Amino acid sequence: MDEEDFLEIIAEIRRQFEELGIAELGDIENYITEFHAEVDYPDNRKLAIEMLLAFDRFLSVRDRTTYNDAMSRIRENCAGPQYPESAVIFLSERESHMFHVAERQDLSEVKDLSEIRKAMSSLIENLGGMGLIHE
Amino acid sequence: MNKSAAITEIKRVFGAYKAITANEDAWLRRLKGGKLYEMYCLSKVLEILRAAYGFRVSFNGSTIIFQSSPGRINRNMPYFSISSGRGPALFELFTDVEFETFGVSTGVKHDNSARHEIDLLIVENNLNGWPSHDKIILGVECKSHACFKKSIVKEVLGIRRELSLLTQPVTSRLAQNAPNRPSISVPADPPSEYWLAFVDSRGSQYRYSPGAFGISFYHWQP
Repeated sequence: MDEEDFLEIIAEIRRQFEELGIAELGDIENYITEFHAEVDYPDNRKLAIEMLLAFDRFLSVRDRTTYNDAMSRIRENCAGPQYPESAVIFLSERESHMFHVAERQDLSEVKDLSEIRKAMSSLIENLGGMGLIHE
Repeated sequence: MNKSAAITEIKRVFGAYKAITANEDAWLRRLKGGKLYEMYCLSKVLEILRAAYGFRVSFNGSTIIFQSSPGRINRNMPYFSISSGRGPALFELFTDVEFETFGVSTGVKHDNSARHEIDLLIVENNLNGWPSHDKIILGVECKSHACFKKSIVKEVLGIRRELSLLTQPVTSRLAQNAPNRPSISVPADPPSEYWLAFVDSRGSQYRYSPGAFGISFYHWQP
């Protein structure tokens, strides 16, 4: 694929970000490297891959696997006799009313995104982004 | 992979995420992302406290509670106790608590700048309400932004200023009391530790100047 092809891929990624309400991830300013007065713009292939990596980071903090990993590590590092059994967010009464959601939000109910993250890794790899993943 | 196949796969992967989260409010999804990262950072902090510092950590309660809005220390809510062994707790760890600033301690009037939240806060034992800046042992900011922003650096520099004065490096209060006696000094008076954890590795490109003020950067990506 050439630079023009990657331009179309970038356009599609940005369209998807907009549909998800996370258009800010499509902002090229996020991916520019600044050092002193030098500004380094990534080429289109690198930019497309950087955007997909940003989406993977977005998924990583919403994934049930992350909850399981964190809860295991917390319990492993507690000496007892009490251990946390769950983790919740308490919303204010006003927030709960405004957004029509329960005041107590159980973090264990976040979705399992592991399959989606695997597919994202494969996509990045197929676009030639392995070097970037491991940088 | 050619262009058409790539675009088809992008639509499929993003579509799968949309299908899973279709009924979830965007505000709540954002909140949960931030708090889940806070929980992930909490797990890393506890691991460091035990393995590197040698502390014993225990939990008081059955549920870890995060607040959507910051508040004060409430001893009726669950928290973590930190001790050097079998003895009494030396410090305690709370989530989503605001502290009273260095500025306020000079006697100025209280306004909206009098308190700032820190995501994870280790403070002296047995406190209630809003801890003052000199009671802080360790503060940890947890930034779940998929793309790191320079404004995060400006924010933590401001918080550091409200915690301590810049001095010659001295052993941190956390390290002074740690069974393993790690060699950790901070150029700060009071000598609190202050950490910034972030998901995007670009954060590491901003670490040197804040490091001169005793801000430690940690790239923790789930």
